[in-house]
Amino acid sequence: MIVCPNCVAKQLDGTIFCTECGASLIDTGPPESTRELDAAAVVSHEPSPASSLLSDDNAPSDHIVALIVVSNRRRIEVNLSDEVLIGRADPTRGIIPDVDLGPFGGYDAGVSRRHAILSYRDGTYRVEDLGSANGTFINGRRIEPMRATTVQPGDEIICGTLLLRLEVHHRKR
Amino acid sequence: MTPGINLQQTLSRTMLAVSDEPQLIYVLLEAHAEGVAQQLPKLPLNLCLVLDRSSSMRGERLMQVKEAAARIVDQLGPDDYFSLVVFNDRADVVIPAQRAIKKSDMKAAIAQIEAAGGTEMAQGMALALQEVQRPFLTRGISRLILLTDGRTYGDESRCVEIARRGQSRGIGLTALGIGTEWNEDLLETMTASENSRAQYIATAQDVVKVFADEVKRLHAIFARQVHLSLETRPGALIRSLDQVRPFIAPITIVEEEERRWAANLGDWPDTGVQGFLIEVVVPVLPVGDHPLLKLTLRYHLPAANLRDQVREELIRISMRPAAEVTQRVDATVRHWLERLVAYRLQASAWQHVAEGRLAEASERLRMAGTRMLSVGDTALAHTLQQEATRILRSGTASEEGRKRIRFGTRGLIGPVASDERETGT
Repeated sequence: MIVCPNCVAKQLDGTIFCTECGASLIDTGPPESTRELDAAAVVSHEPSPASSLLSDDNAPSDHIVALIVVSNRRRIEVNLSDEVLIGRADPTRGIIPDVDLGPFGGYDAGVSRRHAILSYRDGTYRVEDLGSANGTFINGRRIEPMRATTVQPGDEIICGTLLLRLEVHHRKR
Repeated sequence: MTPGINLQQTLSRTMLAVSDEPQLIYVLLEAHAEGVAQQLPKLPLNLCLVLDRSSSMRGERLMQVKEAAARIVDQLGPDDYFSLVVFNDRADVVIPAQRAIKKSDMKAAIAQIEAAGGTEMAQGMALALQEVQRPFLTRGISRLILLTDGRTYGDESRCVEIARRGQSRGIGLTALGIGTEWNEDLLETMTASENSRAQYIATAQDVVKVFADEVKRLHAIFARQVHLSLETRPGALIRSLDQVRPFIAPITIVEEEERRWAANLGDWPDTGVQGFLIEVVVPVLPVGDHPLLKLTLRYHLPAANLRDQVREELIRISMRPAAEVTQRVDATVRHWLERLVAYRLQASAWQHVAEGRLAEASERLRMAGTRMLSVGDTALAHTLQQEATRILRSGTASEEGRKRIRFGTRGLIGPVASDERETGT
């Protein structure tokens, strides 16, 4: 099963274009639904290519890491010195994730309180699903829970049905 | 070489990763004639032109149409039959069905046609169907070619009924719309059958070429009543079958009995390629090579007095461990699928417009634009974007934009590209 990154319709494996919205489900450059976003999302930074890849330099302080909520183009900056918890805040249970998707429609989108962990180690970004109720998807493919899976800058991460995109920019010195 | 049809299959992926879920695979089936042109005589044509001569045709349009009709007369041989019916508020036979021998008399009659009056298409269709059935042909191709520029009011259902009656007797219909006033729903409904199609002529200058191309295509028909049956392995499903070459047309496919699907594909010319895209749901299968589909193409070759010729093709699928499988998709399959997706998106957009869901309609057209841009049709992509915006602003698309999109996504704005494309990019 794949989930369309544009309209979150469920599609059979092997589907090339989403039968609901017509978006391409195979990787051919940046996802179409977010093309407009790139320009808008970068304005708060010194000009740098939106898709700049990591250098060998693995000190995270050289990068600005952000998760973009694609549906409303909101940008969540992430302080990724080691790892961050992605989820939905529930103060009564004392769960305060580093990245709280509650204000971004997380409840309706089926984001779990403790949904996934985003980490950066040895120059590699990883996402680990914490056994969430509705799963985590990278570029439309569901990842195995409890196993850190590599993600690249620009990849789409779906928590439940909430579509996020990982953005990394080099900080100029 | 025995004359016949050659089949070629291309899968979206030749290998699939083993999975505990069913998967989708796309099969592109391309057919072309083999050893026909050299060996088989042409089938005689029995053609009836049905021309709108309402007052809106006056001027450039009628001039071009008369020119086009005269050119058709030139194209026909002594074994071909020709007739011509005109209509406005009433219908008249200008040239009764006869062999194309006294060509100068025919052209003189064509030159006399004048534009006046309203548009009552059913009268013209009824008279034309009567005329085209006069000649007795044992193995020829009978066809109506209708040209109109306006809406017919009140007799739409009769037009459809007459078209169906002809089609049920093997008489195909080519319906050509010129300008922006004609009713594309009506022409598409009248031609929703194999051996029939509607086409949009955007400018009068294209009329002559569109007519000439159509007659050339009809002259090239060699295989008749092409019939496809598909037998699937247990658990597999045919999700859809569509024609993609030379133009896009959805095809009715029915599961006649369990795991046996059938579709009629009409008559085929020996020029160019007939291409079909089949979406197949592959069941869960273990590692190994498996037969997936058995295709059987059955057709007649009337010029060789051969009936029920059969061509079979087996489609196999290879299941491999996930680590050995790439996600690469065949570029040719992707190209034709992308065009088909654009066509489907615009069709669902008009549905949404009719239901008043304008935001969804606009979104569909926009995505169709992205698809057309990706296959390289920049002009149509631009039209799609424009109409997507217009729908949001004013709640409706322009007459011309809608026609360009409906027929453009199918590849049916005349003159139709000669479809010599052999491989995708």
